[in-house]
Amino acid sequence: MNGGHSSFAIDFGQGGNSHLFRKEGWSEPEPRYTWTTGLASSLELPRPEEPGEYLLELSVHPFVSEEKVPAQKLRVVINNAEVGDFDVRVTSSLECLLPWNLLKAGDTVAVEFAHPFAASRSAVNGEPDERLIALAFQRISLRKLQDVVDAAAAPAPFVAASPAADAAEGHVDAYGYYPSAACWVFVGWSSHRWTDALDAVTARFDDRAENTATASGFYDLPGLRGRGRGFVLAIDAKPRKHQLSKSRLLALQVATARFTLTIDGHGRTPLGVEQLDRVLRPIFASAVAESDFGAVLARLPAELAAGLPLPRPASHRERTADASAMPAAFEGHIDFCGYHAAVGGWLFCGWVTAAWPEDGAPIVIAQFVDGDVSGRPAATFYHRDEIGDRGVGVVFLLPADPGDRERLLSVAIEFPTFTTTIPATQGGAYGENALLAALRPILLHRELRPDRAGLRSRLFGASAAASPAAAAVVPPVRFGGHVDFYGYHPPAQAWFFCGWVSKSWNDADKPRLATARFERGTAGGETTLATFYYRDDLEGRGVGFVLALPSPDSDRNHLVSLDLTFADGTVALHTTAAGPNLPPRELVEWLTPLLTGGEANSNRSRLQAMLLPAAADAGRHGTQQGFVDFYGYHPIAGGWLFCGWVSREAEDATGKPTVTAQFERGDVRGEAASIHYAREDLGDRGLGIVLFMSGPGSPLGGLSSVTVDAADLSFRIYPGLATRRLREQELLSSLRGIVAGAIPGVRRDVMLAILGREGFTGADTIGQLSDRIFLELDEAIFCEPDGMVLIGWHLAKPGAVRHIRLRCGALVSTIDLDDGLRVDRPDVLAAVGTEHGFDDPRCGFIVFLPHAVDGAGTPYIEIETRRGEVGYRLVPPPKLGGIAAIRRLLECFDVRFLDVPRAYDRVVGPAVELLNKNRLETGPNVASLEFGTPPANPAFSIIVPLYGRIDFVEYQIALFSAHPPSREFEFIYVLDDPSKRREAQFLFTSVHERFRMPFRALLLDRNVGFAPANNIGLRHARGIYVCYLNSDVFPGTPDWLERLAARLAANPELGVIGPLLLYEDGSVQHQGMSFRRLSEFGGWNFGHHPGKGMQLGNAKGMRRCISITGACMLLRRALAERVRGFDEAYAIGDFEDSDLCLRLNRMGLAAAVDLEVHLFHLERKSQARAAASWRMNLTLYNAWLHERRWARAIAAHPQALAPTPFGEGPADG
Amino acid sequence: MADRAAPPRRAPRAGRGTDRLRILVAAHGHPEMSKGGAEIAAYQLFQELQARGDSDVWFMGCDRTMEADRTGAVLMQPFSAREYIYAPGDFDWFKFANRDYKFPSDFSQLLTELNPDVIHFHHYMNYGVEVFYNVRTTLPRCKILLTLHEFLAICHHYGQMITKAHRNLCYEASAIRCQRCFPEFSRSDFYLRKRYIQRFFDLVDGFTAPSRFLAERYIAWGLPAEKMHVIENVIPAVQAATPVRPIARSGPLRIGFFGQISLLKGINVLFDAAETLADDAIGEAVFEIFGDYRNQPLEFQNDFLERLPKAGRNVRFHGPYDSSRVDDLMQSVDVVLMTSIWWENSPVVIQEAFRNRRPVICPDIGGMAEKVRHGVDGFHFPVGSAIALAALVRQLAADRGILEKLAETMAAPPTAAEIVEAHMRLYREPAATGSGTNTLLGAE
Repeated sequence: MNGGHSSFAIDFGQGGNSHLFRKEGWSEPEPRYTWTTGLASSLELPRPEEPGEYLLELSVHPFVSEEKVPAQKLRVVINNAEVGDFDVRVTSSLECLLPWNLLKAGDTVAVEFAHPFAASRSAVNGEPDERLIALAFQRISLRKLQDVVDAAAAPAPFVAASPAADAAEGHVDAYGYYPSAACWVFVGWSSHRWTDALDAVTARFDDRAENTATASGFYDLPGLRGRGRGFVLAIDAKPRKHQLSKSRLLALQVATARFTLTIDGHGRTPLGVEQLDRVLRPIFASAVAESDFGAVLARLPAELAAGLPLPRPASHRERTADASAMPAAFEGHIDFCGYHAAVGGWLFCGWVTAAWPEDGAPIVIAQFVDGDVSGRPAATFYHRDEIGDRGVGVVFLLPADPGDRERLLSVAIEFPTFTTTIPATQGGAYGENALLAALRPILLHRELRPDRAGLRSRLFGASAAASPAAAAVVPPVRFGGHVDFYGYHPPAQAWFFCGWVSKSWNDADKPRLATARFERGTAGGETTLATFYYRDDLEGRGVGFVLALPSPDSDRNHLVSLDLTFADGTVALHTTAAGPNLPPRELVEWLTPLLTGGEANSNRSRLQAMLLPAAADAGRHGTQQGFVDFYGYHPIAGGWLFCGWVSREAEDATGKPTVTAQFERGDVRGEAASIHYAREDLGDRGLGIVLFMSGPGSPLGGLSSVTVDAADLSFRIYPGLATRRLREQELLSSLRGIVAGAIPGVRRDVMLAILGREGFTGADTIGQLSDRIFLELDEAIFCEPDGMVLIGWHLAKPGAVRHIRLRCGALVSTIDLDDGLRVDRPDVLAAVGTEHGFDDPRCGFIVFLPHAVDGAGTPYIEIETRRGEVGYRLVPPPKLGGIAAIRRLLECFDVRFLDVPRAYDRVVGPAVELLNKNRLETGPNVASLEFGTPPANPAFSIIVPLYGRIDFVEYQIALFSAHPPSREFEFIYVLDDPSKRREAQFLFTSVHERFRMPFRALLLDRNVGFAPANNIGLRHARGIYVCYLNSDVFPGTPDWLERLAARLAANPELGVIGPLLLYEDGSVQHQGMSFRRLSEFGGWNFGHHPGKGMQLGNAKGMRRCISITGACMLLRRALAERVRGFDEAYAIGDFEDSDLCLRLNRMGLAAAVDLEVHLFHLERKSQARAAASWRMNLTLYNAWLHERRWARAIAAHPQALAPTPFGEGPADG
Repeated sequence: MADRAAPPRRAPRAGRGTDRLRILVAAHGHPEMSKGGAEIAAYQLFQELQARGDSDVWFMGCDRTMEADRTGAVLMQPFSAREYIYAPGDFDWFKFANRDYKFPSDFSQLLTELNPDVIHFHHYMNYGVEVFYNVRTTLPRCKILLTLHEFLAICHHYGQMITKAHRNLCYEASAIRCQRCFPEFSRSDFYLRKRYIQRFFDLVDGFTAPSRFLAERYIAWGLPAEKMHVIENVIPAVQAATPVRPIARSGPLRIGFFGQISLLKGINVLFDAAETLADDAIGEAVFEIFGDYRNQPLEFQNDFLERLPKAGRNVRFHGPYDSSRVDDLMQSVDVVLMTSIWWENSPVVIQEAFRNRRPVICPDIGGMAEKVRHGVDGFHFPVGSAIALAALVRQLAADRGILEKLAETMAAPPTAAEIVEAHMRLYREPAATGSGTNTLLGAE
């Protein structure tokens, strides 16, 4: 290991190099790592030579146990200065920044680790290992920070054909079986190399795995750019008939002492022998000199190895000619794409290993984030120098309609014999203008076969031939040039011209004057601001230029010429007759890439700056401008990241900025975090900026601008045409380097935390946050279709938590615990709070999130701290439904007075409403049992729901049987208590045997509650009148039904009537209902029974009241059916009776009690005695519902406070 | 109500040209299997009626052990062609509702076959109070009689009308008082219980009670006075008349206690009185106990067996006796003692004592005080008072003449023939005009 370079790494595995550096406090290396022993350990590293900041990266695995050692503390001291202090809870990669001042102090670098929580396995787990261990070191690397930044910030090379090393570890391009050699052969590339002797390679097929004796050889594959090497692997396997045709390769798995590797096989079927030969021969031929294929070749059929070296593969031009020799190891890349409405399709541009014949075009499937586009493309191929022999450029068109696709992921190319998926540079599709601008030079100048597939003429029409570029081919005899396009940019108040000139100029020899002559007027002046760029189409005959001509006169039409007046004369640059006068937006779009690709000089920056402001912002006070270099969405952090630069003034922005990102199809606005960093290329003119804006990542098309509004300053940054939308991996790796190099401080920490956020993996990570934060969920209740109730507790220091969110699939709900229900949890304080210094007893919470659950997703909690860190907690899977869920929610809080409406409005009401609705969505199964012959034409149907005590049936029927006409009544008992089903059937049978009263029993297979049970009864009722009767009501006046019915018949204004109800001691239970507002219960209206518990006195006749009890009420069946019985929104049973009366009231039908007809009501005895607090809270729910519907009607009703004598007429006697 | 609408009853059997009544006597047990007073009285009546020969008589008893032997059979005849046994099933002991759904139809069918003019129930336990409804709907003109044996319809505490916790005498049942004894029930349960029982008692044509006291309690509870008849129960006949031995003039006064030895029979009152008298001159009075304690709760048995050996030499325990020996045993004592701490109704032992011309010492309450006239048939002492009892015994032991005088005034018990004749008169009596008080309206 030489210390002279700017980076090196220590491998702590067996056979690694750690013995060169380890000093005190280490155990013997194990296959992949080395444990520390004792409370401290140390290393001695060579001092790097190159001055600069260095990054020390540690890959460590802590010795932890959930109970005894939750975390290992690791302090890192370099040359006696502390550079890092970590709590390590999981396998981690830790970074320490080492300033040069610290490193340069000595000849070597002394690294000391303190790990005070070291423990022995014997003490923690009882395993026979007495070593005092803390951390297993896997790898340490020391790299120059600038290298890290450069590596991370460097745009991905266009050969993204090999996926990024962190995304995939290899690829099997082709494979097949040689029966004659009894072995499988796999061809592909791998990020790591393995050895045949020591490492195990397994080929995993969909139906089996093969891992008998293997042999491998590796070779350089230039396209991988150092990310890996090509390999050929042979695995012995006896020939089996079925495997040749049916097998699909899932993956190659390589297990070594130091890593495990999965090389994706994509589920492909094997190639035939001939095709396999065709793949292998060129590899062996070209690579044999530098690689060791001896072992592989020894296994393969002799004829493959014979005659090596084989001829080198044909160049791409030759391959194009020989279409039948399509290589199976087909590579490629899509650089950009865009939709073109006029040709009705998507255009893709990139490169492929080989051109395909026009009549043998493959099927292409372009996979976008939001759907595929597929078909046989019209394709043309073009020359690309940078690919060399490895491939050709391709442009192809896939007809599709419409074009609203967001992000291209990859393109699958299906040939008859194989399919290859080639990656694509991700990001928004090009707009039409940008697309044409990018394709123009390709299609006009570089096609291998001009206008193949007619793409050029379709896109650029007949004018293509007369393009300015074509005109430029004429070699200039003297200074000259051409204007390709031009336009006026109002914010800059300048005309811009783009074209070519035979020679660039500098400040010394620049034209004195530039005048643009239009068909109507001129524009121009002395100031000529121009920059130049390379145009390879001119083949050295000239350079491209962009020239700005400040002028207030925008009202011009067609350009005749641009006259440049030099010291020695004036040259007129002309434009084609159809030369485009571009509107501002297109002008910017066309110019931006040209400027980006131009010479980096002050003129270029000035021109860029002139193009920046949009018309709308001109003159806006305090508005600063900047560029977006790249951007992308960070799904884990739930927000957009923008990287670019802004003017220096923006640095002064204070306060918490709000960011608005304008996309083509809408805006996203959100809170922001930002950090500035120095950008040398900008000098004093600007600062680099990284912006994070939380918000949804929904596809909204290309980015238009990003506006940052801080307290005292606003600025707006714009994307250029070269601005790329990066996908997540690339975005984060680019930004990590940039942010790591920014000025240390809170803002950097926050941004690093945002970038470093890890996705939810199912593990709870709240405990790993730097701040002590507790959030536990006792219960999650799913409220179909997409609501969720969370019951739990939360403790954190004030201000430590910025956001709590529930994430599920694509949905994000912000949880504001204070908007929910706060619950006292002394148990939590006792168990956790006091120990950690929390004393808020109201740390329990219940929240309801109305649209939080996405059926496809797993819900989890995300806590974002002020430090920008994020922790997760899995939401316990909802397990309760129906009544059990309602009950669970209702039994965990106790609110009174002012807190009642809040609790019910925000949490309990909407949640129970959904739960109850869902509970009743599918009705119960109803078994109907008939006892005796039902009466033919009953006058009365008496509906009695049964719950809890069913023996009341026996009393009721026994007592009704004393009134002989009741044999002709239709009794309908609805057993709403499945637990009593068996007992009830015995009882029903016995009751019928004894009393011979016909009745019907409806047995429900689940408990539905009062209203639904009565409504089920109503559906079976046939009587003229229907009487809702509680099971604990027993006859007094024998002919009470007949008499109540007579009242209804005589008083058409009556909708519903009930009897006087008495307690068993003869005092009044019910003589009509009124309402009272109870301040203890939110000031809501509760049913009140005047005179309850008192002797009746001498009152006679009927009394009109706002409502009567549902314990006994009679109404016409037709009316009951018209109002659909009781409203089932009231859960279990409360308030539905007054709701019914109030609905009748609204129809102009009154309710009354007949004081001359009495029954006995043994109130509440029919309900379970354990009426716990949840029943009270359920009553509150029903009261809440009732209040929302009827508060105004009650307030306006004359009988709201007390019953009044009914009318004046003789019928009242 | 139902009965108002029912057709008027016919005169018994007039249309058949014979006046042989068809009578079914029904009890909740059968003496062959249980020796309770009610089933013995019922069976005795059945036998006496058969012996008279002027009617067709059947007997029905119940037994809960029989169903297991004859699966599915509801009614059976294990003893004779005139005796039926019903094997009851699920029963509600609170309101005497018979939930055995197999019973009503089989019973109705039997009723139709037997077609009795009179059904005389000696209890409604095991049948359920709905049995009256069954009879009424099956045989609308059949007369239904019910003999009341204790206060079971009124009092859930085994019909004894003493409080459950402290065994105090209870003078009137009410929902509030009953719930105090049985907090596990609600007041409305007791309200419903009463309404349920009375709804079916309404269908009974006549009640008989062996004591005026019992009758009055039921009338106060709500049964119509005009339906109430006081008739003694028939007790088993004496095997062979034993010559009456005169009360001993000298020697210790022999005081006999006969029957079940239980807490409610007041055995502790006897012990306490004996203890008070133990220091008196030996031989003045001796308590002779004849009876069985082994059917009692274990707690009581232990208590009794602990107390017995500690009792003085003036207490002698003779153990159980067969009912056929009762006359001989009573002849061997001078006076019969009752110490019951509950009301009693018409204890058989009083009839037996009178038959043997033995005066009775008893508490001053209920059926006992009614049957034993103070100073005529025997003497009263305040219920539960051992001191008063001891003083009374001292007085009687000292002056035997008092007892001798009673022998002259003491009532003679009615003979079985007389009692049966009283029943026959009731059976033949035309039905009462109404069905009695309509109690449906309860609290009104």
